[in-house]
Parts: sequence; C-alpha cells; structure tokens
Amino acid sequence: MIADVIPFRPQPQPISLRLREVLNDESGEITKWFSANSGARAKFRIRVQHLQKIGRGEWNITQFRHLGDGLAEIKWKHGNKQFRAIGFDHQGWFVVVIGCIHKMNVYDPQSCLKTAKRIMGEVKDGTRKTREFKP
Amino acid sequence: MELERLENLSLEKQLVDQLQDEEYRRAFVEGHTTDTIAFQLRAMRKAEGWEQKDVAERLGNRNLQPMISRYENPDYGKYSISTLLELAAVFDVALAVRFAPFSELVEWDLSSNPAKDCPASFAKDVRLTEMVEENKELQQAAGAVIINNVLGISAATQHQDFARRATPHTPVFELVAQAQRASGGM
Repeated sequence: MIADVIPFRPQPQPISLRLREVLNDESGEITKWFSANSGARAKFRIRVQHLQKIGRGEWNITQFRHLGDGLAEIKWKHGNKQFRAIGFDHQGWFVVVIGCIHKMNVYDPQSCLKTAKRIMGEVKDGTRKTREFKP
Repeated sequence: MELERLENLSLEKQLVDQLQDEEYRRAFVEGHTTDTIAFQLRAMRKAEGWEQKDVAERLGNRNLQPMISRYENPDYGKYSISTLLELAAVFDVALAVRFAPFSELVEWDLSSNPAKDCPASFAKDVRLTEMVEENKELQQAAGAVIINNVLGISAATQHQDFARRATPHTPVFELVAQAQRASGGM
C-alpha cells in the first residue's frame, strides 16, 4: 500500500541484473552455499535489489568488480566477513558460479577463481546447466 | 496480470519462509536499513545533480565530503540519527526511523515503486498536492450529505446543485445556510 503513494524523483532507466546459478545434480550451487550462510543471503538479496535499480556503469567498485577473463564479482559484507558472488555475463543473465569469502586480499576457498573459470567454460560450452536464481 | 499476481504471491511466500530463520531475519533488517539509506542518499544526490562535496557544503562544512562518501557506502552501517536528520533537511525529505513488524518490511521489500529508491523533496511531492485536492472533494461531499439530511431533499439533486455553487473552501455551515435560503428560509 505504501508503495502506491510515495512520490519519487525521475531516475534513469536501469539495466536489470537477472541472476542464474549453475546446477549440480539438479540442485543449485549457490542455493546450497547460501544454506549455510542465511544472513549473507539476506544481505545479498537486498544488495542485488539495489543494484538492479541503477545502471551498471554506475555500480561502485565496493559493490561490483570486474576480475578479468570475463569474470566479475558482486561484493557485500555480513558480520565481519566480506562475501563475494563470482560469475559472468551470459545471454542477458549474470550467472553466479561460486560464492566465497574474501579476507586480507585472499579468497576462501583459495581456488575459487580457478574453479569459477572452469565452471564458466562448462556453462558456455553447454556441459553445465543453469537455472534462474532469486536470492 | 493473474500470472504476475501469482508470481508475487510465490515471492512473498519464499521470503516469509526465509524469514523463519533468525539469522536471515536479523540480516534482512540490517541490510534494508544500511543499503536503503546508502542507495537513497546517492540517488537523491544524483537527482539533484550534486557532488558529494555539494552535500557537505549544504551541511555547513565542505570537509564533510568523506563522511558523505562513507554514508553512501552500503557496507558502512554506522549512521547517526542526528546526521541523518541533517541530511533529510538538506534534501527536504522525511526520515522515518522506527520499529516495525516484519510484514511491513516484507511489503516494502516486494514493492517495486521507484519512490522508495529516490523520495521526492517536499516541493516536488505531488502526492501532497493530491492529498489537498482529495480533502477538498471530501469536504464538498460531506457538505452535500449534511444538506440532504437537513432538508430531506434528494441526494442526487442537492449534490449537483450545491456542489456546483460551492467553492472548495466553502465551510459546511455556509452550505447549509445556502440550502436553507434556497428552500424558502428554513
């Protein structure tokens, strides 16, 4: 109800951020990762909602960063931990391939970038399936 | 339309299910507070065409620019209510810091109105003007109902006649007096 009556300032049309996740034996990798980090999932949901409303060119580096080789990460903090959802743009979607923690410039798990690259290749050549992910 | 409604119901159910988890609930509240403030501040500043230093200047101290930068970082999360009130004054918007039931936050989360991302300043708040207009219409309608009751005249006839003559500011007692004069001095 409140949403119907609050006036707003006109904003530039945003580029949508639609998410997909990779499947492993019919279950989603990111859904599984988030099941052990429910607080991080809540924060991720809200971060994505806000990013969806502004153009990608305006995303701040504290929220989104290109990693090279086609990979990029959505960044957010929960508790004292820095979380990362690493993925890539594919056919109008941002496919999240792996979730991890970032501490003192080191990813946990350490091999996550290597894994992300491998899975990205599998998605692109069609050997790995994906599905829509609504955080 | 029906499909969209069903999809919204499904999203609502999914969110309510997720909120059963206490850690999720706490983070949901925290995220909505910190992210919303940071993104709203940025959106309002951009809508005005201001730089962070312009906001700092309007707060009365150009050196506060780094603080504006921190406040626009959704991971910062250490806002002071007094500073938020000052910022609300700078943008001439309201600030609603209060406790609320989760159902309210769920509705806020699922609503897609862009108003929640970049609220209008007082001067540009068209809804306020609409509220005044609605109030005027309500006053006219109330006047007509009282007249009908006093004179026992058909509601449709009376409303058309007196509503046409009454200005939006005509008090109810004046409408009644007009009606009495018209009907032969009751």
